[in-house]
Amino acid sequence: MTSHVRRRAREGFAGVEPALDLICPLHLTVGPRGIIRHVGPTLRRLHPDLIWEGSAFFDLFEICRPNDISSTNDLRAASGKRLHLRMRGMPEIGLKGVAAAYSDGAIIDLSFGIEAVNAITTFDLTSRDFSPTDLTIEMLYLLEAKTLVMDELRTANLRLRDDKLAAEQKASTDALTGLWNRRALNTLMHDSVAAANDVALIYLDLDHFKEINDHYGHDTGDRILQHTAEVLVAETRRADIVARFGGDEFVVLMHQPKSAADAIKVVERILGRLNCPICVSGKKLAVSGSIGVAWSPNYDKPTIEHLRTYADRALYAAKDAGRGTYALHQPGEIITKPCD
Amino acid sequence: MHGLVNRAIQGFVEDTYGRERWLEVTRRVALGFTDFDTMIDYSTEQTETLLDAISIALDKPKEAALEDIGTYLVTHPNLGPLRRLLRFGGETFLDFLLSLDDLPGRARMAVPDLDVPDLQLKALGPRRYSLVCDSPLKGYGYVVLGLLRGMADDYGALVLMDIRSGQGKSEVIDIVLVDLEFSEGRSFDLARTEKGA
Repeated sequence: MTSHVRRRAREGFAGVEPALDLICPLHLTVGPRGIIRHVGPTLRRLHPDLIWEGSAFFDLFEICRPNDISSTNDLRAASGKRLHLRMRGMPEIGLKGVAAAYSDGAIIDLSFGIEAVNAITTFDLTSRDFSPTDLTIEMLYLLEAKTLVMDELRTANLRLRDDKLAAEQKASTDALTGLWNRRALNTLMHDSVAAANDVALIYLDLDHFKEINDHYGHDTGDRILQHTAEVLVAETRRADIVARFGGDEFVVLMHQPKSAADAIKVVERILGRLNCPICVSGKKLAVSGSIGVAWSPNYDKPTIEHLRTYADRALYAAKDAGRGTYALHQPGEIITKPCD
Repeated sequence: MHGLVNRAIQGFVEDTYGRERWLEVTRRVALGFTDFDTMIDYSTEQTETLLDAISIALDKPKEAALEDIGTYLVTHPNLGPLRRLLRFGGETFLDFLLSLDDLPGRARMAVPDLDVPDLQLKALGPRRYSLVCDSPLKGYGYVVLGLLRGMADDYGALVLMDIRSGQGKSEVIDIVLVDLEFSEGRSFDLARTEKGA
C-alpha cells in the first residue's frame, strides 16, 4: 500500500471517530495490522491508565466466539456477526460486540450485555457513559423495579400465609381453653389412627359440673374448665392431642404410650390433680372427673369410630361406679378402678 | 385505585405520625380492616374518602396533606428504592423533568396494572416550564408537586414551583429552574452500591 493510500485511510477514520464517540462510546477502531487507532470514551474507562492507541487489539482482547478470529482481516470478514469477547485480565466482564469493515481496518462496537450491573459497579459508570439510545439504563431500572415488586409480593404472600394460619388456628381452637376443638379433633384423630400407631383414647367428663355451674355461676365454671385444660396439658406430652369436645367433656389421644399401664399412670395423675382443690374467686373448690380409656393394641385393626365407642362405654362404666373413677375398656369386659 | 397507591398513603401516615394515628384514620372511614394490600385494587371513592379522613386526622388542608405525601414518597428512608427508580430519569433535575413523560411507561414496565396519570411538560422559556397533571383523582397535582420538591432537593437544585388549576380536573405546576447545582444533593450510582438506599 502506498503512503498516499495509507494517509487517506487514516483520514477516513479520523473523520468518523468524533461521531462514533457520541453514538457508540464503547467502540474502537483498528488498522489493517490489528493496531488500535482510536477508543471511545466509555471503553477507555475500563482501563484508564492504558495507552490504547498503538496497542495491538488482540493483545488486549480475547475473542471467545467465533474462535477463529485473530487478525483485522478476520474481523472484517466477520462483519455484522455477533462476537463474544473479553478483555485480557478481566475474565469477569463478558462483552458482546460487532465488527464492521471500514476503510482499510475495522470498527468494533462493544456492549456489556447482561453483565451491565457488574461492569457499572466495577468501572463506576454513570448514565452519561452510555449512548441515549442504549437500553442498558432501562435494563438496570427494570431490574431494580422488578426486585422491588418481587419483595413487595413476597411480603404480601407472607402476610397472607400468616393470616391463613391464624384463621386456621382460630377455626380449630377452643376459645375458652386454647385446646383443640371438636372439629379439629375429628381430623386429628383420623390422621393418628390412619398412621396405625398404638394410641390410648381417653375420655374425661367432670363430675357434677352442671351443679357447680348453677351454684357458683358461669365464670367459676369457665375457670374450672380452664384449670382442667391446664392439668391435661401438663400431664400429657407435646405430641399428644388434647381437646375440649364440648361442655365439660375432654378428650386426650395419647400417641404411642409404652404400654396400657403407662397410659393408666397418666390417667391416675390427671384424676389425682383434679381432686386437689383450687382457689376460684376466693372459694376453694375441688372438682373430680371420670375417665374412660380405650387402648388400641387390645383390638385387631380398630378404626377411630371403634375406639371412640369403647372409650365412651368405659366412661359410662366409670361414671356408674362413682365419682373420681376411671375405667379401661377391654374386649369382653370393662375394668373400673376408683382413683386413690 | 391500585393497592400500591393506598398502601403508600398508609405508609405516609404510619411513618410520619405513627401506627396509632393510622388506626384512628381507619376507624374514621370505617374501613373494616387496618392494612391495605399492595396487590389488590380498591375503588377510587375509597381512596378519596381515605384522603379526606387523613386531612381531618392530621388537621391540615387536603392539598397540604397530598403535597406531604408526594415529598414522603421520595424522601423517607423506607421508600429509598422508589427515589432510586426516579433518579434513573437523568443526571440533573432538568433531565429528570424531561423524563417525566416517560414516567407512566416506566411505571407500567414495573407494575403492568399500575395506572400512573399522564404528565405533560411544556417549555415556556429558558428555565421556565409548566407541567400538566391530569388524573381522575383530584389533587394529584399536589402529590406531584411534593414529589418534585423532594426530587429537587435530592438533585441539589434550587427550583421555584407553584400550582394552579388547569382545564377540567387537571392541575398545572409552574416551574422555574433557578440553579441546577445549588447544593451538593444526594449521590446516585446506577448500580446499587449506596448504603441503605
